[in-house]
Amino acid sequence: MTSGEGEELDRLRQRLSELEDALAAVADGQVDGLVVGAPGRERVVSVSGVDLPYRVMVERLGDGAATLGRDGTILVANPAFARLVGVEAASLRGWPLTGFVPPEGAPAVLELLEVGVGEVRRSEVDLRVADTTNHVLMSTTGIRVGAEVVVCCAVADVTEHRRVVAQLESERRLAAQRDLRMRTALEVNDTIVQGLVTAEMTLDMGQLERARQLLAATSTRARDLIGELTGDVRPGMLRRVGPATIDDEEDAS
Amino acid sequence: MTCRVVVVDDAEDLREMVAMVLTLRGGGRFEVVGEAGDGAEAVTIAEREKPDLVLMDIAMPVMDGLEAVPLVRGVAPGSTIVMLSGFPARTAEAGALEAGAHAYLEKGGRLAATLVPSLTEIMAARGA
Repeated sequence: MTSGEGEELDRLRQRLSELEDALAAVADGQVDGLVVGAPGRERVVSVSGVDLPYRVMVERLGDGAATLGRDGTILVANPAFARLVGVEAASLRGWPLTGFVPPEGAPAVLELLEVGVGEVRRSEVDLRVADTTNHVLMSTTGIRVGAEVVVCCAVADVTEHRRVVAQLESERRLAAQRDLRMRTALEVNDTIVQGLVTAEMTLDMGQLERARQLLAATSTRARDLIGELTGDVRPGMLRRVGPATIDDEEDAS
Repeated sequence: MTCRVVVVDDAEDLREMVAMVLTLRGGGRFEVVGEAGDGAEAVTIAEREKPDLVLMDIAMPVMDGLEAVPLVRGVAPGSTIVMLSGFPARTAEAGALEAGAHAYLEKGGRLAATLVPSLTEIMAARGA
């Protein structure tokens, strides 16, 4: 390579670098306008239309937003969307959305992608991030861009909401279980313990016939209580497997 | 001095036996002045009789014994309240004492023989 060719190459590299900086500035919303045209016939082209604040808002939104191809290919996504799928926003372009969805969730996502122009579809979807799963509410709508239809996708993280709902449900089940145990204990106390204690005291006081009557009444009430607790008995239900224990239900959360 | 007692229990047979034991085996130290079948009735009788001792069951209709204890203490502050329950002490005693009861006795275990000595001991400890 001659020294002239080397200088030309350096100059082209310099121009390329300047153009890349300018494009990055436009992409980042740092540019209000561009001067275009030949010397003496320059004109200013505005690039800061009313869509700029909207674009900044979407970029800074806490919820995920992305534009997808009809087949689910990610065309552009905001940082919140990238966080939900655990990938850098800049490298998301070209990924298939279904690549972040567990196999069992794929049909729901494919249905969301079939959304028509102007139609809105919503569904809860699981997004896989390494070993964890983010539960999201995904909304899609179709938009025509020229001859193509793209899918606008909004994603709200409902992982914490789901966790709280599951915890409340678990607490409700435990409370119901405690209530049932308490009512059963009360029945056993009223039906069996009171009768036995009274009969024992009656025996101690030397009233044999009355004690006998109390024991007979207690055993009858105890049998009725057992019947209420078991309901209809079927073969195999009453096979003894060991001493009965009552354990709290394990916390589902 | 005779200890005036109100017996509170929803089991009528048991209430009757407790009254009989206190009367026949109490050596004249206990006099049953009232009986109640639930906590609300106990509060009414305690307010009227101002007894020295209230023997209170826990599981009862209308108002249970744990609900009734603070109300009885409110209307008869000089009464000693002893819980007499079929629930084991390990599960119910702490709650009873927290509600304001002075002592806890379990039903069963030769109650006819142990009731008078236990109550005598509790009342002596209370200075009654």
